[in-house]
Amino acid sequence: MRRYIVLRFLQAIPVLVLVTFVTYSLVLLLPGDPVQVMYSQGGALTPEQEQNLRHQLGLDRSIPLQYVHWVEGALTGNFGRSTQTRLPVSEILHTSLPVTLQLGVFGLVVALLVAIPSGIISAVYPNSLIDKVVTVIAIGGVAMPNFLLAMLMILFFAARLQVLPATGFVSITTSPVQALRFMILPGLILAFGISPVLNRQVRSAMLEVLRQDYIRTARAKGLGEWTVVLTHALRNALLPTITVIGLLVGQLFVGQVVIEQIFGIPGMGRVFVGAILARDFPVVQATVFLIAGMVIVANLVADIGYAVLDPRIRY
Amino acid sequence: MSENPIDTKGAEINGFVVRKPPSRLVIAFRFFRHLLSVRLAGFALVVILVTVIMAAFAPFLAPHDPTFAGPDPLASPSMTNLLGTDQLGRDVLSQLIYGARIALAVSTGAILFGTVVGGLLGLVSGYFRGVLDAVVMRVVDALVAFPGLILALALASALGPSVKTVIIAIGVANVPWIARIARSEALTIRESQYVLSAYALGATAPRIILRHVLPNALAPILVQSTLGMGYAVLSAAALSFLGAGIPPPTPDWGSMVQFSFGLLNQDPLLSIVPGVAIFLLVLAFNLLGDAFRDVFDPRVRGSLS
Repeated sequence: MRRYIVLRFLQAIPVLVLVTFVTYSLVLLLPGDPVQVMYSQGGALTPEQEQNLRHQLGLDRSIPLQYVHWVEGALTGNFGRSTQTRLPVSEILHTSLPVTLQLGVFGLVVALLVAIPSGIISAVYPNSLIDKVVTVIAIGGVAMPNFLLAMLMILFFAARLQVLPATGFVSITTSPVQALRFMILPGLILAFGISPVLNRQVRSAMLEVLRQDYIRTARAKGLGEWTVVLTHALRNALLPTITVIGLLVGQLFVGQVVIEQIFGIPGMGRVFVGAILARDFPVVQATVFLIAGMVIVANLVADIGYAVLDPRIRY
Repeated sequence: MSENPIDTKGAEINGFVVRKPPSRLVIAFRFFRHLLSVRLAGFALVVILVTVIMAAFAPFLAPHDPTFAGPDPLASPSMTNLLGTDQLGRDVLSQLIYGARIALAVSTGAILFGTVVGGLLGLVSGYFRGVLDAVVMRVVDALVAFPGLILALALASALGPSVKTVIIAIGVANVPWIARIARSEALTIRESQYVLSAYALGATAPRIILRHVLPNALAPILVQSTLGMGYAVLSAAALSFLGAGIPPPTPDWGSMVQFSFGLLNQDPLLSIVPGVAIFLLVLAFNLLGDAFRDVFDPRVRGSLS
């Protein structure tokens, strides 16, 4: 077990190094000279200013050295300054990351609350009406563009019924009730994007577990069906879900990129899109690196958690 | 044992019934019949066929020039503009018909790119194993860490907005997933007797990979590719919606949603209609991918022959 955990950690290191490499290479793909592209809106630079800027940004060094310099900065949380606002990137991340995490965790919790019970019911009554309805919703949910769902929800809940706000965001530390009100629509849409995958996973794992011998034993000794399902089967059925949650972290963020844009939520997704459109490369690099890092860590935690929780797995 | 010659009903040799293999046409027919028997596969094929027809015959089907700004902006649906016009007076139906071209071009282009690059990477590294495999797979792991749309957005902004950029950006995002599947297939297939036989006959590695490993790894790759096409349509739409996708005035469903999104409360149909088109095409690709999986699954395959 300890061997597996150590190995899994070691495996993550080259991946993380490659991630920094890919992230940094994005700047090299940018056509033309970075200084010219980044500061073209500020009018022409004198050769002297340009020279200074180049030195200041470290662009007068060789590309490998620049890369090392960037990684050094990234490891200490220093990602340089935004070319748009001239603010330190770390400051921008400091305000937007908590917003994204708050919405992301809310969305994930809602998705789990919807997907696990519906997955269990589908597996306990396979091919029943409720199973079929859930299946249709799950198939439709995967294909549903989140902006289409957002439009329909805004039209119905915000414009027609006027019960929920269409845009805005309140931090949970300011006012939990208001925060919830503002998070319901974006959170539901976010949850709708990932719960089909979770639901299918729970359903198939539960079907598999319910075929096991120990379940037959539990039934044979006279336990009620729901006791068998909830106390004997559920724990084993939920184990593989841990891995899937790890894989869904990236998907969750992809959803946030679009949803934060629609609902005017000042999170990292919005920062990222703004930086992309303005070609604010220090911010793009930092957000991309942070997202990829979080995905790697989430998968690492999921894999190790799975190994720790399932004693049948020996590596 | 049996009096029947092999080429009519099959012969029994050592307890095995040996039949002449059916012709390719017969196999194709059975495959298609089996495919259509999968739930909703017919619906999926119809949606895809309609989209292909819209794309292929757009100039004949579209009642107006999709980029022409007419005299009547924000018109309600009428006989001249069946789905109304947008705020520039462009005919919505015509844009929708022409938009099918971009949707299909982007999804096929991106998946072709992802499947060829990812498939080759996966097959080669799975076949040779060793250091090459370890290196390729760590690169794939690193690529997987970038969520598809994030990588596509970053690439699209680095390369500048164009149809080609969107295809490459989404294609790259598909490479690691195809590579993983191709590799795991190659790992199994390389241990098979027929690969050993080919090797013993002196076949070169490229020949073994292309003639023996590839055809046997094709089914799961095709399933993943078809599902990937749906995801490519969604990603392309999201890119356009965020303003980093297909540049105007090329008619594109995602751009249509984005262009009229500000008018959601006054004229919701302008963004909902192209949104529904995206939904239907993605749904169709997903259902077709599921149907392929059902047909190719060895546990189901028995009913094919």
